[in-house]
Amino acid sequence: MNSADLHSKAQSLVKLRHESGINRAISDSLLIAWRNLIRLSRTPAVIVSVLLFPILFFSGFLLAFERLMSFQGIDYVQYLVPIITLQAMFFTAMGSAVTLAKDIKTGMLQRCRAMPISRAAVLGGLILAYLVRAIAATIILLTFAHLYGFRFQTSFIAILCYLVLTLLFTTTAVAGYAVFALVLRQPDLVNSLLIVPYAPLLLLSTGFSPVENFPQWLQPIVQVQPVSHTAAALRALVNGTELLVPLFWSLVWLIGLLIAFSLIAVRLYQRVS
Amino acid sequence: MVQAKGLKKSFGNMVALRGIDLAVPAGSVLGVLGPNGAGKTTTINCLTTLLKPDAGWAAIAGYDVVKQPAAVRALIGVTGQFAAVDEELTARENLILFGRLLRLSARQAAHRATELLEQFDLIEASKRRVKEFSGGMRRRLDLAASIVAEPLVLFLDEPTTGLDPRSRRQLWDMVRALQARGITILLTTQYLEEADELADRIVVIDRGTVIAEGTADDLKDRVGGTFCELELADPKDEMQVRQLLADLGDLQGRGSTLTLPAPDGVATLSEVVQRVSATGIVLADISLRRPSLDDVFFALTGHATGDEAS
Repeated sequence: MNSADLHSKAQSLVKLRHESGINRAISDSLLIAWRNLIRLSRTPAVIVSVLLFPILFFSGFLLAFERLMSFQGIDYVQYLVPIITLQAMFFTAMGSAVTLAKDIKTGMLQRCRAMPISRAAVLGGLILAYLVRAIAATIILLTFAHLYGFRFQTSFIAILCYLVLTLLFTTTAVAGYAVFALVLRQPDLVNSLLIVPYAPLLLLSTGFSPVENFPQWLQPIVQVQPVSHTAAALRALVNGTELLVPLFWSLVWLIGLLIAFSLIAVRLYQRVS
Repeated sequence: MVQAKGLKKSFGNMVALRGIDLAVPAGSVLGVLGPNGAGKTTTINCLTTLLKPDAGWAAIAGYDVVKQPAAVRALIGVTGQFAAVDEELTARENLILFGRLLRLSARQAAHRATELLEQFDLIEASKRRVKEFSGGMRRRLDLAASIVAEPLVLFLDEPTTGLDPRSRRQLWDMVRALQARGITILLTTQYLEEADELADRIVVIDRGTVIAEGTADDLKDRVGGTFCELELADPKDEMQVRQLLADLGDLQGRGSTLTLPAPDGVATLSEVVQRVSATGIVLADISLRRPSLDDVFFALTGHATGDEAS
């Protein structure tokens, strides 16, 4: 090849394999999601944990606290399902963090970075794949809860909104855990610290127990944090109680955090080495 | 095709590159040779847009690696030190994934995957998951993944480190085949033999700087040309042989093995044979030896190739 040929070949390759634009981001994310889903489907332990963990926690909490809560006048089956749903979404996001940390370790991320693919595709593909897992986990949990007498007291549209809000929560959680994995990088470290954001956010929320049951000094924190608002909004969608306020704050939190986490994650991704 | 001028990079207090210059003409193979920690991987990372150099300039086919990184990525293939393929996927799925990411259509990607699996001797294992693969098979798949969509420039970072000799030979053949197709290649290695086998030109780097550059022969000449190595049947003859050959040059070695610079090659050798056999001394062996690249490296850096740069 002479230099003029090379030059024009280079030019046409640069044109063909450009990596910017929303279409590119979507198609590349879908490809990475496809790959992540194949991975997920070949890891039987993950599938079992998706099916089993939320059901175990749901049954456990119900057995431990249902009677206690009934003294406060709370129908605990109806109260509990939303926070167990969010817990399942946390598990989903934790799974995504482990996958990402492994990809950093094996050099898969490096390879993607040196390829002309959208800079957002690795995060996008992770989110899309784990949303599929999230949908499966939610449906299984809701079906199981149905057997315990759990019922939506509202409409079909409320059920759809329940799913959409749950998936928004998952998206934000996956993006947050992606930042977590990109900062810590070592799969072992990521694995052992997974519960650090999860445990306080989940337990110090109004998801398991109303805010009055927390110590006075802790109540403002418990009330204001995103998991509380999201759980409250989901409960409202289940029971038909006051929806707008918790939904508003939940959306503010989730969308705000999602934007922040995504920007940070894409930034960190470009520095992984 | 690949050009770099004065590339510098530090990580905190650790200076990795102190100003690397290199150039790879289109269609040729450049071997970047150096011990662990010399800056080989950092150089590759700068050239493949994975790292931003602190100073200096580099371009692939005229596209600046810092200002036009997306264009650079469209032209290159990279095989890193670790075989970066997906372990849970099969060989075929990996190749299809990378093909699709590089804008091949589903049909093109499937076709290309089959083609590469055949070329890289992986067709029988194509439906097995990569985690069941041997090290050599992984490396081959990794290399195949880097050329799914033919790149103009291929970067290979220590492509055979940790492989057994047979897998290494196999990989070398594949690299040669790629070069024959006109792909420009930059490969790093700590094996002098590998650079000698594959590279048209060699750049020797140590502690973040280029300390020598040229063809393998150029580098060997820098250590002084050919040596004549003789082995005496009886070490007691050493003194007598030394006297006999004193005027031919500086005789090195001790005991039964002696080496003598042989600028005239065969002429020097036959002169030695004549003089020695005239006295009745018996030689166990005599040979001409070109310096190995190991000798070159030692002469250039003062330390052996296996040493960690400290």
